[in-house]
Amino acid sequence: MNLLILSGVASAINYIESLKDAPDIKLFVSDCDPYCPGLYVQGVTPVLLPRARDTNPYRAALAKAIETYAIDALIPTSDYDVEAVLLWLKEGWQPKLRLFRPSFDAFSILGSKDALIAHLAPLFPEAFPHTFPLDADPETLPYPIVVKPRNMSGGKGVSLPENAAAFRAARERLVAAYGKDLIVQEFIPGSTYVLTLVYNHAGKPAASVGMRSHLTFFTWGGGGCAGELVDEPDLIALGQVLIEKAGGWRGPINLEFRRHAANGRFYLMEANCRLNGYGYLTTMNGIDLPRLAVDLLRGKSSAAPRLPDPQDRRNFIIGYRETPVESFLFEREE
Amino acid sequence: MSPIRLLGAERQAASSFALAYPERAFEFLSDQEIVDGWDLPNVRLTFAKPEDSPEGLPLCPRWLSPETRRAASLGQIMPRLAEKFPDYVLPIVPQAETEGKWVLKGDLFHRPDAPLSGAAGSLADVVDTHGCGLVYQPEVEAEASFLVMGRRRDKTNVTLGVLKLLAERFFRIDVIQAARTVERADLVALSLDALDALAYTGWFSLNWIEMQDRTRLASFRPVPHAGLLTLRQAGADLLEEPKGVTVASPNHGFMAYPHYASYKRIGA
Repeated sequence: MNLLILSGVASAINYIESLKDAPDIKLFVSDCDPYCPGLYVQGVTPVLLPRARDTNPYRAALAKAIETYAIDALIPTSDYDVEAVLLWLKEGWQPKLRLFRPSFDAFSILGSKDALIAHLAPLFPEAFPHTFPLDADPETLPYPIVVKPRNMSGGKGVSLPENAAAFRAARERLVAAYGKDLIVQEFIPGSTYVLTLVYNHAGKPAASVGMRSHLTFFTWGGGGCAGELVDEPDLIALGQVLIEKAGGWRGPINLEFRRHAANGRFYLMEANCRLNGYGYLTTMNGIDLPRLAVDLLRGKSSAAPRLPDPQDRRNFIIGYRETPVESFLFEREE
Repeated sequence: MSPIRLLGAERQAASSFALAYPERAFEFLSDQEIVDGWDLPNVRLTFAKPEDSPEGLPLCPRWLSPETRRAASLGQIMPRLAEKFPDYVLPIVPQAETEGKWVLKGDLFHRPDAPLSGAAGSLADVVDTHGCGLVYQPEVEAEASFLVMGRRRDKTNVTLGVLKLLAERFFRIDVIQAARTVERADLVALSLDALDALAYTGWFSLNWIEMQDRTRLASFRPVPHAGLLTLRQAGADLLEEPKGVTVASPNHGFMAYPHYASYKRIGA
């Protein structure tokens, strides 16, 4: 199978690490960034594509790559790639290859922090932090409070003002950087949990794995860069019902929660319609979600994976190890 | 041979050292409980705090003594260099002026998390939660960034390399995502002049920003960064005592590849 992984960071690294030695799979990895690590793994064929947001050039280049490399299956692994592929499918793209086809309507809810809150918070008020209007009177807000762009991931633009003066300044800075498309949200003290699921083509969960962050990428929080597997049936049940109420899913998806330090409840912070950067933690523990996703694309079914016994579980930390590169791909002449 | 103690081993430079010198033993010291490196065969990890003043090579100025840290801060070093080389140094000021856009920087050490920049008023909410001190630098349009990194014993004994920074990522630590050694005699000369002006000895990292009209120094830190394996392969062995002026040869590149490994907490 010629498998094209769209985007070569975080989530894609999990696919690459899981599948790079598979004799039945030839891996192709795309990115718009020539310095993306996934392009440099031995055995991977790198493919430089335009940014997924540049719709027409992206589509033309992707179609050409699919033809050139005789791609059999496609897995988008960045938020932008997921959106670009699903939008193209909605507009009538009919590629002759295997890929997950969740509904664009469900993606429109799950892939947007704003729509997620608007659609699901009224149904599950205890599973969402309170939100406030951007123009709320700063003197009336509970501090600390979270201010963040609606459609940015990876912790971009998140601010945690501690008081009204700091809120005013953060609002000014973020409006200048991202426009008024901001969310003002209750801060949930506690730990970050990630629920990663893989749905089959019929929309049934084939795997659901909970994880807890021990260390976050940023000092204030954000995604996790170290953590462990957790056995949290309530988290799985909550995540599955939230996805169902959003319209269901096909393929990999992950939900990021905060567990409140005081009341113990899980609060949904965002959904990412792909495997998360944490995904390799599951592979390290014998739950190979990338392989499961590929098997589903091939029409194979397998039993839902089970967590190892607690004493056999492995935790993980991501390190950024210096790795020699003979030459950089697509580098401009100087 | 006793292990080389690296202070602030949560930094990317720690694994860079261990990978660059597999024949040497290293002790990673950190005040963070979760640190990368457990799977490296030449590494052991130990919890320590900067205030305990452990001996070793600091990878972050947090681990310098308070006096040394203050003397090596941007607020101290950069004005000295600006006075000597006014055309080549981007100023550092304690307060941003109302006009223009500014980059917020850590004075004593690199400010963690994503870089922040903007008008002075829009940066007013940023508090110094890390104790790095906050200083401001005019925001400029960079065409390229370079890291001149090395070790200086005296004016005539310096080992260094010039890395073109092709991609960087900024989390709780800053990560060099991709870099390549380049031949830039101008940056070598400017860097050696700057170090001479400071009469500096020890490890150094000088960040240069290439603008349309000239190259400007954006920061000086008295610590090494990742790239040690690459510099060693390029002929600049930074663990060797500098003898003469040695410059890394060009066209040696590296990428920061995400590496997953299990860990144990190093307790307080």
